Amino acid sequence: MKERGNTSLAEKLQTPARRIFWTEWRGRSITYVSVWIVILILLSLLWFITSKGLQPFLNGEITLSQFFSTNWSPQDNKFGSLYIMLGSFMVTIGATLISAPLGISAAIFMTEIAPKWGKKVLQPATEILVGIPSVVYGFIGLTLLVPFIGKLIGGIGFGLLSGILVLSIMILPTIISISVDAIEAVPQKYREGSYALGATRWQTIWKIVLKTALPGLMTAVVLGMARAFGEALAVQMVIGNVPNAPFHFFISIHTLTSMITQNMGNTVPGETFNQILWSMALVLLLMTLVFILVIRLITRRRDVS
Amino acid sequence: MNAKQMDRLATLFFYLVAILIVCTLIGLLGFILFKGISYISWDFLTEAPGSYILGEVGGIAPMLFNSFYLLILTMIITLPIGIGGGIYMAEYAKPTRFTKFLRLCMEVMSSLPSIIIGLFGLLLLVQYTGWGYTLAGGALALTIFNLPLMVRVVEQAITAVPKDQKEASLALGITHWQTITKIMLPVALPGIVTGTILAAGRIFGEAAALLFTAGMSSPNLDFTNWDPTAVSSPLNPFRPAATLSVYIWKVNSDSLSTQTAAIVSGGSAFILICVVLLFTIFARLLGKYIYRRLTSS
Amino acid sequence: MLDFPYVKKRDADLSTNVTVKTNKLNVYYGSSHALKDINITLYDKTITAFIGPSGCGKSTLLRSINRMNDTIPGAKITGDIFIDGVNIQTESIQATALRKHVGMVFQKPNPFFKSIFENIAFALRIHGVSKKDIEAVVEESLKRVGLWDEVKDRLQDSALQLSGGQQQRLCIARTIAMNPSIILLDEPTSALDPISTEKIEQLLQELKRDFTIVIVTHNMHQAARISDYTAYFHLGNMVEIGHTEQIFTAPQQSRTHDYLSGKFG
Repeated sequence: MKERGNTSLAEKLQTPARRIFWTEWRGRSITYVSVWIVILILLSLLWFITSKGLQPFLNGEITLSQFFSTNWSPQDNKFGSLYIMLGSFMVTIGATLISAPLGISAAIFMTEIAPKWGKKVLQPATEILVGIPSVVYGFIGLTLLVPFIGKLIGGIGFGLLSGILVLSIMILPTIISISVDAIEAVPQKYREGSYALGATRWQTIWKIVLKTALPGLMTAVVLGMARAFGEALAVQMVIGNVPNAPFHFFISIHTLTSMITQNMGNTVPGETFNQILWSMALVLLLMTLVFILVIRLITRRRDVS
Repeated sequence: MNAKQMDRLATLFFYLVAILIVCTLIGLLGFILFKGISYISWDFLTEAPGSYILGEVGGIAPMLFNSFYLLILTMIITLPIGIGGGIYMAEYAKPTRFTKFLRLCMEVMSSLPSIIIGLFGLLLLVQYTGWGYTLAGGALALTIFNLPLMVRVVEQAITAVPKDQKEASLALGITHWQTITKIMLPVALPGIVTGTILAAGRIFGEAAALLFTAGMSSPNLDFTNWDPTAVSSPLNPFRPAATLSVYIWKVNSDSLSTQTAAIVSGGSAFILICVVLLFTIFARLLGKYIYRRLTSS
Repeated sequence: MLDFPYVKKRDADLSTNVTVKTNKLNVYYGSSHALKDINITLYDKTITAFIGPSGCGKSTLLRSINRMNDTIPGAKITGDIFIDGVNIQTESIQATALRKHVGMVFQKPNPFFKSIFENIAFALRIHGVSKKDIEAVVEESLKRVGLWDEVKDRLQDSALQLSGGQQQRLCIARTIAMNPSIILLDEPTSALDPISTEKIEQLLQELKRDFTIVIVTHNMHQAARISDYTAYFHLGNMVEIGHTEQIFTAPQQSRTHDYLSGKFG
């Protein structure tokens, strides 16, 4: 190849390349601005919800002990929200008790028992379940599940059990897909070692695979719980929306999300009821942060060991 | 019981669980599709909604339009920021404290309940700006909802690009930025497209973030007026807009168990599920097609 | 006794112009010390081969010359590298600009997921070569690596449809199209069949007339066949460097002798 120009290599190396510098700087800045947009959105969200949620306490509209009591009667200006919070916890725990064993079992099926069948049928099935919008889950709950429970038990069918059943289907795909990742991450040699010692498949799954994958499985379950706790519309449509004590399967109750969904549009900004709804939103936000903290603790322990 | 029997029993149990889940899915889809298809007619798709409380079924045309329009508006805002953020996470984020903080932010943001995002939208985009319920507010709320997912989609797609492509480009004296945009992004495109369409399906079905941002009703739309500044124009981004998902929720919570409500929401749910399923299938097919074009043309 | 039937004879007219010179070069990857106090000189328009067992640091040294080590997180470099007398380790030298003049070919052929034409044209366009010149340079580069007749009728086909040997020659064409002064090759034939390997070895002899060539190879016979100088590396140290003929017939160091006679490797 002919030389293009006669400058020596040393000269070429020392020629400053401004264009290169600016192209790189400009590109890098674009990406930097993008991540800062995300950070600023999140920080302002945290700030706005927190300050709005604290307002009724700072203004003296309500005390913490009143807020965390069971005395709910808006017409008398009593906003004890304990049963409503407990409602959120009850549907979450109920849904998790159903979905965690089912989801982890399904994940075991897909990875250990019948990977071919699992990948071909169960995986797409999970993906479709994820894609179904939550109003559709609520609609199915409302038109199929609620009348069914009503007929079976008597009564109207709305309530804790309906909420639990709808949520358990909604969080199932979350638990399955993350459990699959956790189980697939267990090194193959562990299984081979176990089989070499004469263990059956079930013994290998129970004593080796599940034990090794435990932190990942716990993460899956906690993420499922976070999803259940924050779900609004599907729960609101089947739960009955009455702030009863949430300790019975067949009576109507309220959750934080259903209370907010139902009343945010019907109350006037500034009135106490409306302010309390923002405090409930703050509780919801704090619980989301707690779930993330728990996941961080679980995964950190795995990193150490 | 000995170990062998136990093993067989466990296997049986796992099969039963798998069958239960598949049957549940088939049951849910079957319920929506079989029940819903009888409610679908040309009028249902093309007419304005009736007053369902008085027993008029009407149609879902404005809601269907709103859902797609809102999706497009959201994607126009999300895509550039999502791609920029994904590139940063995949290529420029060094193992520093800032990166750790950034990852935490992404994690928090992607686990926020959508109702919380809706409330934040109500506060900032409805009350503070004084816009009231608007499509623009809805699109921005959905952007918050969608951004962390988009960033992750782009980051994973870029990370999956073979490292030797990047090295080849850098070794030719091409800047890191041009290597990313001209070499790595095209290879990552199938993954980004698939992930974006799947995200689109999620946006299309979202309702909780929209109740208090885009609102639960639409003004009378004049589908012959395409001037985006006109009040009755479907394109006007500063008008309230109920989407299909919000409409389903609204119908069900307004009129408990009337026959009309069942027809309206059954038909709407049918359309919603069909669109979401089409998105899912389309995402896979398009991703495969682009991948083939890229590697063999 | 060392048994290398085809050791390259020493050329009579080897250049004495220094192209690359390192001074106490050390490279660390995190806590591992990959290169230790390397002082090496490479001469203009010659082929130098780096040999040694895997993990000996030969690829690390190669990647230091075009600062590709910069792209590895946790890599730290001390000491100096002079190219044509210019210290490339200083702030004022941009790695990106440097790599235009110090080309690199990798172990596994890595054509871009683009057409054959675009594989070469892409970088030229970015570096501001005019459209008219690009076509000429593409043709010239492909002729240079002996690929033109094989691909001239399907320049718009995907480069991934080429055979492994053709892909590697395309990668070399892509590199020389930039008109660099130095070409670094990191085990360029280890993924190729013997016939493709021979073609590339012949090609390197041709290219030597215009470029300074450094090749890392795992195959000592290859080093013996094609290089003017050979350097032997072991555990991050450069044990010995000399004319290829001398290294393969009478190495000074016993470690070099042991390696070449197959006692380890």
